[in-house]
Amino acid sequence: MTDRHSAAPDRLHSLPRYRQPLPRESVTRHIVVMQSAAACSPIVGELEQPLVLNGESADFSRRLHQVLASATVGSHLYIMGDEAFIWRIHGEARSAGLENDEIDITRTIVGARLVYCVHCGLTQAAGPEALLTCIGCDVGLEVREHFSRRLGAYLGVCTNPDQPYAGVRS
Amino acid sequence: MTIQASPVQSYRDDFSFRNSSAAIRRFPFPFTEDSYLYSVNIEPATSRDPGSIYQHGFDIDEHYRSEMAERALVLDKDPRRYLVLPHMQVAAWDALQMLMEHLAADYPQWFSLVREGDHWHWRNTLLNIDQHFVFGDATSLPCEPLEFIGRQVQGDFALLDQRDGDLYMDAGLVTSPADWSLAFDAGMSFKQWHSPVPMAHQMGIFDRALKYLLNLQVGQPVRRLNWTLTINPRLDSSPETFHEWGADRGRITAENVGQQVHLRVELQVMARLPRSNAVMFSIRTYLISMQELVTQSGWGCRLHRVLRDLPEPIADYKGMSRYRQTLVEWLSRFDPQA
Amino acid sequence: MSAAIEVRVSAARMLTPVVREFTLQACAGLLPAFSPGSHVQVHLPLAEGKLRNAYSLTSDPADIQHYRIAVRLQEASRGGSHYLHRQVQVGDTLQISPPANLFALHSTASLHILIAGGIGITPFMAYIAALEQRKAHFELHYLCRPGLSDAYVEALQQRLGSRLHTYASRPDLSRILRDRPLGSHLYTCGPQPLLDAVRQQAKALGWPTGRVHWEAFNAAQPGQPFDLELLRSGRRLRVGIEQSLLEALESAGLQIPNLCRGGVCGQCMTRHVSGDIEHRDSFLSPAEQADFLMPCVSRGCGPCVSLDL
Repeated sequence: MTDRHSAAPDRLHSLPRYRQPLPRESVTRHIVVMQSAAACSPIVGELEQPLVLNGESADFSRRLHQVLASATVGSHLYIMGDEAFIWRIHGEARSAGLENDEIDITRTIVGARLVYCVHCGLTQAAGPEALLTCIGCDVGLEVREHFSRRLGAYLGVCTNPDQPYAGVRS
Repeated sequence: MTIQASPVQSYRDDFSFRNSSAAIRRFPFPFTEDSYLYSVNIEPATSRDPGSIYQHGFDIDEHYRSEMAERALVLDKDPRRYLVLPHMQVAAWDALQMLMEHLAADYPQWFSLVREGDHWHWRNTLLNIDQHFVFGDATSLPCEPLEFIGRQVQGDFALLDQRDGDLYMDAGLVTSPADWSLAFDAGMSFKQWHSPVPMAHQMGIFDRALKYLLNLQVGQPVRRLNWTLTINPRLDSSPETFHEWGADRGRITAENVGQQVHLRVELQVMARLPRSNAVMFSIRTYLISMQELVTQSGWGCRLHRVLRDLPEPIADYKGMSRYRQTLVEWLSRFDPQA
Repeated sequence: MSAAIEVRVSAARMLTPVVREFTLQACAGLLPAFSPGSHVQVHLPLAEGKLRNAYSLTSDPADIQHYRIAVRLQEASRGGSHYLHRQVQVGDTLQISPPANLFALHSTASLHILIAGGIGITPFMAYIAALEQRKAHFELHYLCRPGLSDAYVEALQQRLGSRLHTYASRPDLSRILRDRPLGSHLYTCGPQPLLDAVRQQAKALGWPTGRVHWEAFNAAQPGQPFDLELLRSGRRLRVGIEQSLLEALESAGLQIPNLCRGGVCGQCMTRHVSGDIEHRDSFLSPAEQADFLMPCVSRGCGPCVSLDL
């Protein structure tokens, strides 16, 4: 068996928790992936010999893939940026075999996020607005307080079933 | 019991679904008191009350053919209602085995299962299915195991992977949800997929339920009832199609309450799957219109009181805000104290 | 709690001078299917009282015509393993509990690293059968004394080839645990010192606890006899030297939820009201032990204990 986990705090459980990374003992490799230089969190300066990847550099995707493929247990990943960026990288990290508790997510840029339109299944880029029109099927959506880590997106559901295609103003 | 043969009744468009008087009597009216409060209302899923929905592990009723036809319609139109993450194959076969064993044992007049080692022979005379296959080999079936058996059993199925001291919804076949999306919730942990439910988290309901389910043992399934309301006998009240049916909630009048408003009760059974150690979560939905419901003594009165006094967050979550008052007024005539 | 299963010993053989393997078949009906890592409790009708010991199922989960367990003869014990070694013969019947699993495989691991010490090999025998069927990547590190605690080693060498590593003395665990690919999970079973060393080394190398799975073969140990008072019914019982508190309750007809019989799973947690307790479990916090105890391993160390039962 594994050690008992402590009870989670009382909150909307599916919503992501962004926070400054906590200090961790015994990490053998710190891997920092930031969306851009502007997205960098000051904590990076306190990490011991981190491997740092910048999302704006030319061969970022290739480097990220390489780093994840060769990383070993004991690695810890820190992702910094906006929500859309964070969850894209999170998905790749999970596919590479990292567990949720081996990844710290810090939202250092507010704004872009992803929304899953439940009607047509399209995951699309969106802003912080509560309403948007799905670019796949034109249904006017409200963005719910329900989040899928697997999709990296919030749930978008028709906001006005009496007039689903009326268009929404955000 | 007679299974409705043809024509099959519909759960969409003209909504020809009706309950026979036997089905009405057998309906699992979920309220034991005049008010409703969340609880971990889990009980051992032992066989009781012959003829009732509790007699067999997986209940087949008169609507079988209609419901299987409806399932096929939903799946053919929207494959996102079926999902099995790669690590859930063993659990999917576990589920197929559990369902086939139960159906063949409980309804031998319709289902049979003959096994020689890994070579299985399954027959379903209600749907004219005669299938030889190799257990564990998906290429020997016309489609993957969970879909194959799911298209032959009433109710939705979610398979929960047990790991990291938690349960993860990593597989499922869900064509009759009460407003939740498998495609969106897949991969979530127990508390994550229950995130939208108001009030219950603070009451510790999900902490206790999770602890209980983590300790489910093989051969000792448990069950509980869940309830909500649906307009029209619409089985597929999914978020996926909400833009098609959501407006129905705004069209309820004193004249059409009896026919259109339905009580929707889910019999949820949770069972440990033996080889994968996963948990099968089956959700068997029963629908009854208000006019059918009030034919049963005491039900109209009790439902009136439950809905009248239901806390607003729960009423909102169950989607009844737009017609609640009309419904409560309609039910009040069945309540001597109203 | 579900009913015990009656089984017949259809075969028995010595794997080493101190390890005896039993093949069990159902007396009626089918044996329940089980997941790798599962154990059964064997009911042992000793002269001093009924004991229950937990043993891992070593057989292939895909084949449920029979179960197999392997029992190591324990010198300082309450007599359960002695009974199984000396008294039980082929053809005898035994009662066992249905399988339960407190040591399951992690479904999303891409590499399973198994570290077994001595009789701790038993759950891994079932693991290996299942992992091969699932075509999963794994390796087995088996710490065993040749000819004594190396049950199954020849069969494993044939079957696993280079995936098996055997050691006559404790290997350098840091070499086994370092530089492992993401997606690796670690499982260890055997004597407590090995488990402690593996967990400590894993922690030092940055393995998060969620990747480290362990099963200890704890069992109740003998102790001073004492009286038991059940406050709700007013009954008084006596707990004998060889008998655990849980077994005494069961002998008196009480049904207490339980799974591991070794003080780790938390199922049998019971409130104690008065009397000195010697806590021998690995589940409760010190604060919790002020009010609760695990009767499967813990005992009274004074004349009498009162329980809220």
